[in-house]
Amino acid sequence: MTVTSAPRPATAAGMPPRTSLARKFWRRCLRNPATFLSLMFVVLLALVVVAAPLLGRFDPLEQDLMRAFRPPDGQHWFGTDRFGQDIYSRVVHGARLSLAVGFFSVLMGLTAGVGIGLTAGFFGGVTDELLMRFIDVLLAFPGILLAILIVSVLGSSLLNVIVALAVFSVPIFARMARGSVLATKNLEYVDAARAVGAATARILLRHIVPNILGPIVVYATLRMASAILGGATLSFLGMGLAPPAPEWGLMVALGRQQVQSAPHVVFFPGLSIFLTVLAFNLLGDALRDVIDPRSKPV
Amino acid sequence: MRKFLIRRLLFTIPVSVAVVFLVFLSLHLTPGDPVMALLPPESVGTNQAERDELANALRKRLGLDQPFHIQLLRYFGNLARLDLGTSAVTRDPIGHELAPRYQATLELAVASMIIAVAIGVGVGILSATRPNTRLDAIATTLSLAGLSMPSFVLGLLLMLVFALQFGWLPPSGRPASAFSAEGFRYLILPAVTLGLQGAGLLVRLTRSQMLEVLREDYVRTARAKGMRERWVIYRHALRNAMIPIVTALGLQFGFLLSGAIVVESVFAFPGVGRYLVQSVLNRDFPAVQSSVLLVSLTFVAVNLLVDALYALLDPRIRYAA
Repeated sequence: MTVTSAPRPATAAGMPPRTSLARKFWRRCLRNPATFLSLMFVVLLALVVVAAPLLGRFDPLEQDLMRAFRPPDGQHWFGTDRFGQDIYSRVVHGARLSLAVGFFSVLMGLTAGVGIGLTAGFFGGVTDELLMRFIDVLLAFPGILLAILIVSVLGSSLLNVIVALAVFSVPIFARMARGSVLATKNLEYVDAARAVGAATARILLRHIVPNILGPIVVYATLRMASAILGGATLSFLGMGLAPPAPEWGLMVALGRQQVQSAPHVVFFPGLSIFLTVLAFNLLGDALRDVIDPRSKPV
Repeated sequence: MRKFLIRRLLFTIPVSVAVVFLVFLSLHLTPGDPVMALLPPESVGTNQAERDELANALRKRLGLDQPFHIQLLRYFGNLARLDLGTSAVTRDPIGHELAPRYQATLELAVASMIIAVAIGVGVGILSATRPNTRLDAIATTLSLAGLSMPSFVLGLLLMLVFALQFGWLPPSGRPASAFSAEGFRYLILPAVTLGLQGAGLLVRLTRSQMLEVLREDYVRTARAKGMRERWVIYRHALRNAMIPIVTALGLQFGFLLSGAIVVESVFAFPGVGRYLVQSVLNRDFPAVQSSVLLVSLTFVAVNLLVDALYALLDPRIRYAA
C-alpha cells in the first residue's frame, strides 16, 4: 500500500513552491544535529565577517616581537605567532578573506558556467559541441592545477586567486546547466513560451533558469567548500595572498616550521579552515537531500 | 570492445592537443612582455639596458621573436621529440629534471590510491551493510571530515605526531625510491595523508552504490535462495557496485595527482608537485608549463585506461560500442 500525501500547490515552472523547500530544509536541520550545527556555524561565520573589527581584540597586523609564540591565555585566546601577532584577531579577520575568496569565486564560476551551459544546451549543434569540448579541456586539468597555472600567469593577488578558483568552478556549473536545459527545453511550457513569441533570453531566464536554481544552490554551497579550501591551499603554497595578510592557509604556512614548539600557531587557522569547509559540505549535503531525496544515501 | 577503445582514443587526442595548446598559450597570456616572465631571477637587480639585452637574447634563443604559429608548431615539434625545453633557473633540460620527480610522484599517487581504495571501499561496504547504525554514522561523518580536512593541515598533524613526537617515521624528504626499505619509510606519511583524503570520497561513493545495489531484485533472489550473506555481498552486490566506482577511480587519480602538489610541499617530497610549486615561486615559466602538461596528460591517459577497464567490467559498454 502506498501512502499519498495531499497535492501541493505548484508554481508555473512545475516545481514545488520555494517555501516548501525552505520548510523541508528547516525540518531536516531540526532532525539532524550535524546539519543544525553547520547552519549555526555558517550564520556565526557571517556575523564574524560583518563584525570582525569589533570582535578582533587586537590589530591583526600589529607586531610585537616581545610577545612572540605565546601559548593561548586570557589575553591572547589563541596565542601569538612568531611576530607576536594575536592569532585570534587574525583568525577572525581571516574569515573575511576566506569567505570573500569562496563567495566571489563561486559567483564568478557560477555565472560563467551557467552561461556556457545554457548557451550550449539551448542552441545545440556546433555551439554545443565547441563549448562542451572547451569544458572537456578544462576538466583535463585535475584539481587546483589549472588554478596554479592561472596564478603563475597572472601573478598572486586576491583578485587573481578569485579568478583562478572561478575557472576551476566553471566546468561543473556548465555541465549541470547544460544537462538541465536539455531535460527541459522540449517541455510543453517552453514550447508554449516559444509559441507566444517569447525571446530566447526570456525563455532561458524566466522558464529554464528557475528550474535549475535548486541544483545550482546545492552545488554552489558544496563549491564554496572547495573554493575556500582551494584559496587556503594556494595561500599555503605561497601563490595566494602575501604576508602579513591574515589568511588562514598563509597562517598555517608561516607557522609550519614551529609546529612542534608552538602547535597553536598552526592549529587554530587549520581548525578554522576545517570547520568552515565541513560546515559548507554538510549544508550542501542537507540541501541536496531536500531538493533531490534520491541522493540521500550519499 | 576494440571499437569502443578506438573511439575513446580518438576523443583523447583532440583533448590532449587542446591541453598542450592551452599550456602553450598561457605564456602568451602573461600580462606584459612574456619574455620578462622568463628572465632569470638574477636579472631583477640589473639596470634597464642590461635587462633589455638579456630579454632580446632570450627571445632569440627561445624563438619568441618568430610569428605565433611558428612558435606553436615548434612547441608541438619539440614535445613530439620529448624535448620539454630548458629551465629558466637551472638552465638544465626540464625533461632530465622531471624524470626522477615523475617517478616519485607516481609512487606517491599509486601508494595513496592503494590506501584510499582499501579504506574507502572497505569502510563503504561496512557502512552500507549496516545502514543507520552507529558504525554507519561514524563512517559517514569521518568520510566527510576527511574530505573537509585540508591536506596540508592533516599532513602537518601526522608529521607532528608520528615523526616529531614519537619519531617512528622520517618527517620529510625522499632519499631513495619507495622500492627500497629506506625509501618506503619516507613514503608512508605522505601516502597516508593523501590516501586518507581520497578515502573520504570513496567511502561515500561505495556506500551509496552498495545501498542501491543491495535493494536490487537479484540480491533479494540470492538471499531467498539461502546464499550466505558474505557471498551475496561480494559475488552479487560488490561486483555491480564496482562499475561506477571504477569510473570514479580515474577522477580520484587526478584528485591524488593534484593533491600530491600540496602533500609533496608539506613533506619536502621531491616530486613533480613540489617542482611545480618551486617553479611558480621562482618564476621559472618553462618548468611550470612542462609540469602542468605532464600532470594533465597523465590524468588524461589514466582516464583512458580506466575507461578501458570499465568496458572490461561492464559488457553493456562493449556491446553498445
